[in-house]
Amino acid sequence: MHAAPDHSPAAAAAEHAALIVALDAGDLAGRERDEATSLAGRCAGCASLLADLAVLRAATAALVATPRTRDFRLTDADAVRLRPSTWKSLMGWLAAPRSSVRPLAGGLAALGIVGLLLTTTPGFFGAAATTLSTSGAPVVAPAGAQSGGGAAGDKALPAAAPSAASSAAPYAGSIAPALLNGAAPVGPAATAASAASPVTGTPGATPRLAALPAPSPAVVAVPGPTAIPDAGALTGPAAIASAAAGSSGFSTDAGATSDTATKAAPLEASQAGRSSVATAPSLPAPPDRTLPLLLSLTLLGAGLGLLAANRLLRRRAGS
Amino acid sequence: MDDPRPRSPEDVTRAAGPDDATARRDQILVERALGGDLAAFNQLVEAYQDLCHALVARMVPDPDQASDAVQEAFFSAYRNLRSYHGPSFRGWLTRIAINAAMDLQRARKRRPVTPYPELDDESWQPPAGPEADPEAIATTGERQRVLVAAMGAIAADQRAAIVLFDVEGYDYAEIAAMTGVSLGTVKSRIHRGRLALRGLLADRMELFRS
Repeated sequence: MHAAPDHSPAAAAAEHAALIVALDAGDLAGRERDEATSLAGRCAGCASLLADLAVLRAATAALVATPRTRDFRLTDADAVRLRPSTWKSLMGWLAAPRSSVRPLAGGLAALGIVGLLLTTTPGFFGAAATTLSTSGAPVVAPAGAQSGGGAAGDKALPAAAPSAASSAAPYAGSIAPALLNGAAPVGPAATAASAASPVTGTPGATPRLAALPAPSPAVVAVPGPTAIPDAGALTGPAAIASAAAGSSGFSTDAGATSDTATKAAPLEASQAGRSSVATAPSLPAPPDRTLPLLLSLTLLGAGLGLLAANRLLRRRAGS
Repeated sequence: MDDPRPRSPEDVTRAAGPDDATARRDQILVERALGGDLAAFNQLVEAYQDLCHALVARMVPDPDQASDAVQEAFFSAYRNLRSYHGPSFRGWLTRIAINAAMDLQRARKRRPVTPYPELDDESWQPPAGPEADPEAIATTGERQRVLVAAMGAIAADQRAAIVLFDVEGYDYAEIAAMTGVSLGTVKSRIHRGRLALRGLLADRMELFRS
């Protein structure tokens, strides 16, 4: 909606003044100039303004500057201090009032915030962590660490375990070379590896380990801290490798897991007592959110850091 | 065959016309300064410090701040000498001085300043020719005082535009390039600044008309 034109005397006077000052500066041409000239002819105030502007222009042009009282030549010490260096250039860039620091910092911070929102909002990076099974059979999702895995593996096995273990075995074999020890896995393949873990390993040698659903048709599980409360720090491929080691803790044994896959069943069965069991429709495994989260936090931190540095350095320069 | 020996700035000045010679002299001095010759840079400072100070002193009401801005301009020129690629060292340095003056005013705009206390001193008079009579000197001095006070009261960007246009004689496009704003903004600043000056001096216009 447009505002109604202002027809007040003050607005008219301001408009006339703008015309007169433009006429005085020689910035008008054609019809506008004729209009302004006519205005100056019929309006006493406008004529007076035009005369005053001409007088002031002349006086300003004759303005005398105060004499210089300082010699601005550089000393040797100045030259050494001002010699360009990478650090000084960086500091100068950060402290400059019109540098690109602020827009850059604002952009980085905005990207970080958007990244954080996208990463933490359900639906953008997959649903909440749940443990699911397409077959409707109970799927084992161990909740506890495997530090005492050897003892647990000797225990009894529920009926659902063998199918999970056998379907997961090929995954475990393929990921074995990337084995990492010492952290519990999080991720789809971690389940597969975990399910295929040989029980022939040395008890107690297994790092903190949590089995997660395998990406096989038979077993689909969504990873995440909610399913494995005390899961370790590893996620993604590393987790797969770690899980592949199973209770044995040896990556080189992973190739043998295919023919010992069924042996994994007792281990999972033993974990069943400490596991949460759920059945639900099949869902695609969500991507790992850790990397985007870290990236977003880094961007946000970099943006805020640049802004803070710019403000601090400018304040210091101002003082 | 060209003489491979480097020529001195004085030789160049003598050999060419005034403008061209100045530009070539500046170029030689810049090249020497880039090679680490501080004396060459100081020759440039000597050549342009009056010009820079006269410009900045009209833009910055406080004389100490004006001197600081000029010094900072030369520091900045020395630091960034490698970014100078011609054609006019004077134009390049003028832009740096204008930016230094504007930056300094932005940084210290909250600090109250006394615009040229020497102008408040009734005994101070602007330079005048020996032929000027005492009454004319007194009138000129009063005009200067009043005008400088009014200039110090208008916005810094308007003041800078007026000084560059009315005093230094740059055109709109040059001022736009120097200050990094559009040509329309330059016009607007000059127009508004003049109207503001006239408003501030409305009661003293007789002094200027006489």
